[in-house]
Amino acid sequence: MLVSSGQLNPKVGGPSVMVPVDRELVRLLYKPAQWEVARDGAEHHRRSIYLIAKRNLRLPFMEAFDQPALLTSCGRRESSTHAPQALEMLNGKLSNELAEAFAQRLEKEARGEHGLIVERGYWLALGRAPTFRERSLAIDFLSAQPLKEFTLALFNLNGFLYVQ
Amino acid sequence: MSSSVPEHVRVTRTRREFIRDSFCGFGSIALAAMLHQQQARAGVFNPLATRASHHAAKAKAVIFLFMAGGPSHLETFDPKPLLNQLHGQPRPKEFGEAKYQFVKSDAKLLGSKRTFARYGKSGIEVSDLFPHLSSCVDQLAVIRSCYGDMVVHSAAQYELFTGRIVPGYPSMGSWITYGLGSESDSLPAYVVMPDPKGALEAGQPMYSNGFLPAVFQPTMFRPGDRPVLNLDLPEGVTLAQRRRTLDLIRDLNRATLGPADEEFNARINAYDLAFKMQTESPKVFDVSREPQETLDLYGIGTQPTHDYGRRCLLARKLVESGVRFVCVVAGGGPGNMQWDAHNDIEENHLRKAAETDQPVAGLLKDLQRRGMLDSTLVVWGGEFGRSPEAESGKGRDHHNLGFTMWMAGGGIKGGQVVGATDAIGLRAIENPVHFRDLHTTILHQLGLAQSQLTYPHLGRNERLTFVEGQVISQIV
Repeated sequence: MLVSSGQLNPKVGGPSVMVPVDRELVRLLYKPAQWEVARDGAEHHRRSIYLIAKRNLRLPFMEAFDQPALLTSCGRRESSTHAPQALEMLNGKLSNELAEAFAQRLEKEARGEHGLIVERGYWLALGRAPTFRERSLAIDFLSAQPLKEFTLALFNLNGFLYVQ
Repeated sequence: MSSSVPEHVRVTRTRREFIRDSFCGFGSIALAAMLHQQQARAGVFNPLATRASHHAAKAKAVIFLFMAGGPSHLETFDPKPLLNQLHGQPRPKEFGEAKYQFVKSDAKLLGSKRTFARYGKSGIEVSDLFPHLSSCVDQLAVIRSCYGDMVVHSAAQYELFTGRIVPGYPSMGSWITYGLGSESDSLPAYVVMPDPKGALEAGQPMYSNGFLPAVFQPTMFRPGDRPVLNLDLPEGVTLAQRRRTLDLIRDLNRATLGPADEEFNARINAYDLAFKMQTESPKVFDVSREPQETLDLYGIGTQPTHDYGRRCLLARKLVESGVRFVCVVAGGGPGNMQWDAHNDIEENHLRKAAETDQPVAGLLKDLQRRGMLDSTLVVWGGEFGRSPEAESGKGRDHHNLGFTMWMAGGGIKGGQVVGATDAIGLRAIENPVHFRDLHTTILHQLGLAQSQLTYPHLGRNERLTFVEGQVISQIV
């Protein structure tokens, strides 16, 4: 999602990053003050390998997508499919913010033309051209709905979520 | 699929076909074995589908009323007249040794200021801390001989929830959801409602799914009217708009979907379920629509029972809608906001009892009159009890060698006492019940056998109990 929306910060190395999380989750910590969000916003968009791994505050996004619990060894990652993942992708802050950024990128690159937007969106997110059917479904959608919902939909397609 | 892009194999699909078609058909035998194993690992397809139990079940859901911090058995369900007589004296040698977090071996015994009386047809003794609950005593199986292995909060909490003294293992709620699936198609199967006052020492890991697949994780409810994370639409998006986005996702997926791809189907189903959760669950979470009489029963709208009463009523509504395991936590944050009465046992327990007594009794009565008590197992207790010896003059320290928990409903034979501690409430001496025995009994009532509810992890078939536990046969 970071790459598609052009938001990825490719910086390498340095200390772990604490990203903003829902206030309720920070309050679940025994000492909430220890969660100090990185002040430089650009730090939040680095690769997830740079995010802090805190056993008692698992980032909801990472937890929903089977990040190991960090308490015991993980011989093999689980790969599950369930509703909280869908909820996170549809309603979570991260996916919505990046969908918005992706929409802005497409707006700029395709200069507002729906056909071009769909073409460019598919190439950036799914690595291929849309089929005729996909293109017409998408253009239909864009005639009535905001672009950001389209980019969010791209992030939720099987073609984006799975490597084929 | 575009031919100009290198084909990365999507394991669940291509590997299956490869094995099936290879080795002149012997591959299909191997495939069947692999599929069986995959299903044994709660598969990819629908891990939350309702599954059959191992034997006939009496209960189909559990509500765990977690009294965090360690409520004193000596002030609640286990009267010890000898303790009061020996008040101020050192513990007599014949009772043996105990290990404590703070209290030293030269500590003096602390008598209890509480008055006990016999209640109900069963005549079980309950202290004056629980006037409401004492009227329900004929439904309770009071286990006075509980014991655990650890005397510090986090380790004891891990043992209470996961059967191990270190974090990283799945909680009983996760095991139960793994074993039985969910009965609801619009609510999470396993819910924890923490106390708004704060987190507990053991933290998230005690509730967590550990090495079980992420789908068995608890849904942590937040205080207030919108308890589930991510159930709210982002700002500026309407439900109608979102429905159309979901339709687009479904249509675009179907435009490229292979016919027999179950993982893809599972993912599509997950989106449908997510949308259902968004639209249907707010009704369940909305407590204000209940009749005033019910709100009064739980103590909602008055202090100090409002918060716990609200969460107990929510627990009933969740179970009514098919949720399997609900944990309602009483106590959070600093020790004195839990039952962790190191400094003043009277002040602390009077306060905690006032907050929880009516809601707990209200829950039992409400479950009973709705015909839900027989199929809902209610468990009450904490990670340990408290010491007969005084700490800081008027307080009691953590105490793991003998304390009280109770169970009700779910086919449990109420109106009886299980086991006993010695004459000063130090040690469980008659019919001792470890957490593992509690776990085995809970699983048993749900129709699950501890040795059959396993999950392969790091080369072992793990289960909820570490050392094998015994069902408390007296009460099942």
